[in-house]
Amino acid sequence: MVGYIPGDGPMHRTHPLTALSIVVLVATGAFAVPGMWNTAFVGVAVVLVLVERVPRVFKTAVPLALPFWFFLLLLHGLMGDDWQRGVILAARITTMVFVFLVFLASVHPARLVEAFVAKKAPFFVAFLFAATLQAVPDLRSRAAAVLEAQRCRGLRAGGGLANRVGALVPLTVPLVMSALAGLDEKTVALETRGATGGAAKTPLNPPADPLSSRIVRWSSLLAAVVLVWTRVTLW
Amino acid sequence: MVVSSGCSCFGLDAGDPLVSLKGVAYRYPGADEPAIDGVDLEFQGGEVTLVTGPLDAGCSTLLIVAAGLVPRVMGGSLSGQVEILGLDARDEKLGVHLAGRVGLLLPTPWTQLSGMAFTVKDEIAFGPSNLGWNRKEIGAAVDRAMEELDITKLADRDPTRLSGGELQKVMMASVVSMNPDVLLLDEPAIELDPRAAGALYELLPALANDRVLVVASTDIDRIHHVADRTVVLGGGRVLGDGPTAEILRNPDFHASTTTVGRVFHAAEVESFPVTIDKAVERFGGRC
Repeated sequence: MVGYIPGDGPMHRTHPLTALSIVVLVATGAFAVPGMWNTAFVGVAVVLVLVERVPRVFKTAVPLALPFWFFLLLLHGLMGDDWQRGVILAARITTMVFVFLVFLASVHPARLVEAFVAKKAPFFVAFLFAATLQAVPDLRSRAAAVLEAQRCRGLRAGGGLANRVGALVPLTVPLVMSALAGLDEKTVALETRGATGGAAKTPLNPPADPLSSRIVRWSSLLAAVVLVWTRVTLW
Repeated sequence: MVVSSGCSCFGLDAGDPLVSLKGVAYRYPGADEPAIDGVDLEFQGGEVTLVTGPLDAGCSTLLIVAAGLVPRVMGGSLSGQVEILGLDARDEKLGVHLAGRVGLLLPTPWTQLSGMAFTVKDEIAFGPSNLGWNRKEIGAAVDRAMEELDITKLADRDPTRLSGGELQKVMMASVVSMNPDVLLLDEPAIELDPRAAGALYELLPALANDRVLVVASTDIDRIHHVADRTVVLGGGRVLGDGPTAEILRNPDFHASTTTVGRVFHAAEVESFPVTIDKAVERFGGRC
């Protein structure tokens, strides 16, 4: 799974919300532009990967996107005799996967949180983004701990299919329960650390947001809105 | 009115307790029995209070109640009177009034990470920044807390990659950095090695300056000498409350005394010593 990769590409350097707006524009374009034209946005997403010099994105994105191409072409092409529909849908999903991963690789979560705080976004918005970005590593470490604990108690999680299916319940139940228990304690911790106290949170290291960055951000968002509007009313 | 030099409280007079519980019972959501029942306790600033007892005694629950988190955050059923810094625990605006003024450290440091900080320094700054302090104040508070807990060298580390002991110190610094008027610590040294635990306990008297400091712990051997007062809980009720030295020597509470105290109590020695030094002093040359 791709996480932040240090670099000096444009999305690395720009304000995180500007990077987010570019991602939103490309993803919106892939959905809004009609017909086979939308496949061009796969190219745009690939260009973003190259410009940001984060080739590791390919390693994660391609295996994620390929099954969609396979099943969508199977369903719409071979079975439905509508190859074009299959390509359009697969291109949309591929673009989404690529731009999301480029964003993850280019914007450090800390900078994104700071950007939201500096813009005086409500606490839950900043927390939602930060928690989402940290959810995968957090669940992965919890799952590893549960797996180790259950193995120590004699669970055989490897081997044949029957073993693996049989291990699902003793692995997933403690994982879900511990995540829920952790949520209770996290709520208490956030409450006692002033997260819901109502004061405006002070940004510690607000990212620079020059005029050029703001122009790109608002232009991207405006273009995304225009694309959606055009799609709904004209195309 | 100002009660103590560091605390401005809501309608309290000088000498009033900063935290007061009168006839308090609390039952968790879905529980049949209350976790604490009939609890009458008052806490003043400037003293270290140890709360101890066996499993299920209600020590952790007592801290959660004293933090003003029930029923507002945790739900459940609360009866009796709970006042924190002069505010009723049922006050709908309690969360706003008490933001940063009551610090609670849980025994599971990994669940207390904010999830919004990617270095130890930022994790500690999370509380003060939520309170709207300016960056200079935040920086000073963070540096001071890191120095007190001896974790300055961890400042730029990722908090999710620390050991349990390191993380527990970071979370302690996170709570202390807000300079709360009420500091509630639930097994603050459970992840620490004996030496680090001892060093952390040594900090408590200085931290108690002006503020309420309550520690729930069963690590009596290491903590007893810094606790001015000890409250013994059992079955959710207060069994004993008094100066630590008296409580530890009271045969009624021999299960909640030091290892040395338990040994001498088991040997049916009347008026038993509770520390190795005291035991040597008393029985030196005859053991």
